[in-house]
Amino acid sequence: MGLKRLLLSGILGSLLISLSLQSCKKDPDQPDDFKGFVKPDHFPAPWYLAENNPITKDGFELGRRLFFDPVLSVDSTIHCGTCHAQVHAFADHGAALSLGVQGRLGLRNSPGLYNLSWFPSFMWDGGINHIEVMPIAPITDHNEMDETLANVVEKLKRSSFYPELFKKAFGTDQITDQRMLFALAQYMSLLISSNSAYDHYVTGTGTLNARELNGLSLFRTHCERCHKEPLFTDFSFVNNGLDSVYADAGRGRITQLAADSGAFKVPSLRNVELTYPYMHDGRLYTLDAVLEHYTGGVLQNGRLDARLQGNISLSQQEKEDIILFLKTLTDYEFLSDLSISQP
Amino acid sequence: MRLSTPFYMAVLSLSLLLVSCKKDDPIVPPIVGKMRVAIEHVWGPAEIPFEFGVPYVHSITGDTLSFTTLRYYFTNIKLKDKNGNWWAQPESYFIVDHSNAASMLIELDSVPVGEYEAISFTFGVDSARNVSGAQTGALSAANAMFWSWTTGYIMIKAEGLSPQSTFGNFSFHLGGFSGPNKAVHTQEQNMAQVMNISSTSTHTAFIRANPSRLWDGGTSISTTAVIHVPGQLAGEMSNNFASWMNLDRIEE
Repeated sequence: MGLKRLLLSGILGSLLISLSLQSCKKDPDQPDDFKGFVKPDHFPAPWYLAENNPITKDGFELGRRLFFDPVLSVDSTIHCGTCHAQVHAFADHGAALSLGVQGRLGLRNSPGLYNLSWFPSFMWDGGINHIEVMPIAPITDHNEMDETLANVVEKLKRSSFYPELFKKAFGTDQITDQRMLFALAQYMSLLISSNSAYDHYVTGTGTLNARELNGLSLFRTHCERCHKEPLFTDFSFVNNGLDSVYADAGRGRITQLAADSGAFKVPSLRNVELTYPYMHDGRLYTLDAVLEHYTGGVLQNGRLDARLQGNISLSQQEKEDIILFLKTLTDYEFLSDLSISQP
Repeated sequence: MRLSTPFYMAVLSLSLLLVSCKKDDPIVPPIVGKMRVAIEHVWGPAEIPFEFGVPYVHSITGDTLSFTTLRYYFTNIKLKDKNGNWWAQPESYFIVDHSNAASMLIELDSVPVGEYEAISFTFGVDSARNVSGAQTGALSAANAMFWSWTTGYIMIKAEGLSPQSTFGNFSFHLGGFSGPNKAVHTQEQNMAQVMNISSTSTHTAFIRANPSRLWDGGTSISTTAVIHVPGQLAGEMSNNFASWMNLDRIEE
């Protein structure tokens, strides 16, 4: 097969050359700088290795196109970017709960999307175990896009341009839900946020000021137990004492265990300045409110995580310093990276 | 055009190379035969033919059930030869759907010739394919046999009408690929006689499945008419069904 392909590309190549020598020159507007997945040096090994889905520029670009295409929703009104906006690190635009098709309100806060290759599970309840099958939930959920995978595939097949894009990405113009999910995974796995002021500090390429450093020190004492560096989550499920009785069972919905009721995944705090409001249902609008919760608002509800037993005591100045530190997690390169923005 | 000449030279030499490669390294195709696995659905201890829309009374729960949906995963077909070696069909994943006769007749078109004495098959989808991301074919999530919100295949869907249900319907979507409640069940069954697969043989192995077995644990529709999540009862029901899937006979 390899030789045959070489043979074919040789013939095609020579045809192209004889048609136009100009075509060999690179388009200066399209620099070939696609690097694929590059693990930041100070990050651990990723969970998603894309073994069955080799990441290519064409696959990534197809995924990017699909991510921002309302064809994924039943009435072509919303796309992934509708509730996952780059300016908010791919969280929603300050909405506690997000609006799906026909104004239907979702049940949980849209999280930011970044560093997903390191995620062992997805969603607030961790119910989804793989980045490639993650988009099935928002595409098919009644309160979100309310579409079926089979119908999305049919719509893509009827498109005037998607068959060609699938061909570029996967070698043939066959469109399947697997290929669509592969492309989306390629795009999402390259949403990597690793260039905040904090990152420059820990890699020795930048500094933090005294108050930010004090905030980091306090963070490591009080918050690091769940929000583990450098991803700022340990991906565990935690009942953090928001309620006495939970309307949403969270992790318990997945495990069917009463002990997990009211537990939700520890969110990453990267870009946390922009992913407000906070908590699984977006009930807290400011970082001050979040610190208020952890320094006096935690309820002893019988299922409170062991790591939150005992009061965290912080002075007003200390809270401010922690928030100043949290703002060093804002990654302006990521927020303004045109290579991942809406095409 | 001058530039392209070396390309054609290269193409020519490559094609010569290709030909010579083939000569030096002849590939002898394995000698294979065909067989079929046919699924038969029956009801109750008497194993009467099963049909949609017919009210059946369950022998244990006493419930009356009339089916509209019966779909499940039948996977990982393997054959054991008389030397004890297993042949496994590659990518052996099928959805058996009672509403689609073609889905109940599985063609195996490249079985190595030989004498076989046992068959193995799995109800449900193995753990590996539940944790490996987007799949295709019978395992495509577009087949509506996959949970979007708690990753995993719906191993069986059994739906229909029952007067014992408080709302008239029953709907069982049973699954779970790991842990004590997993709804995946592999069976190895001996053949009554050795099955001799040759390039001209035409065997059909008939597997009987009996949806009444789902309720052999005795849980009435009046108590539980809907399950759409993995769990203890889901595991029990699906394993009751799967453990009663039997190799009934082999016909030539």
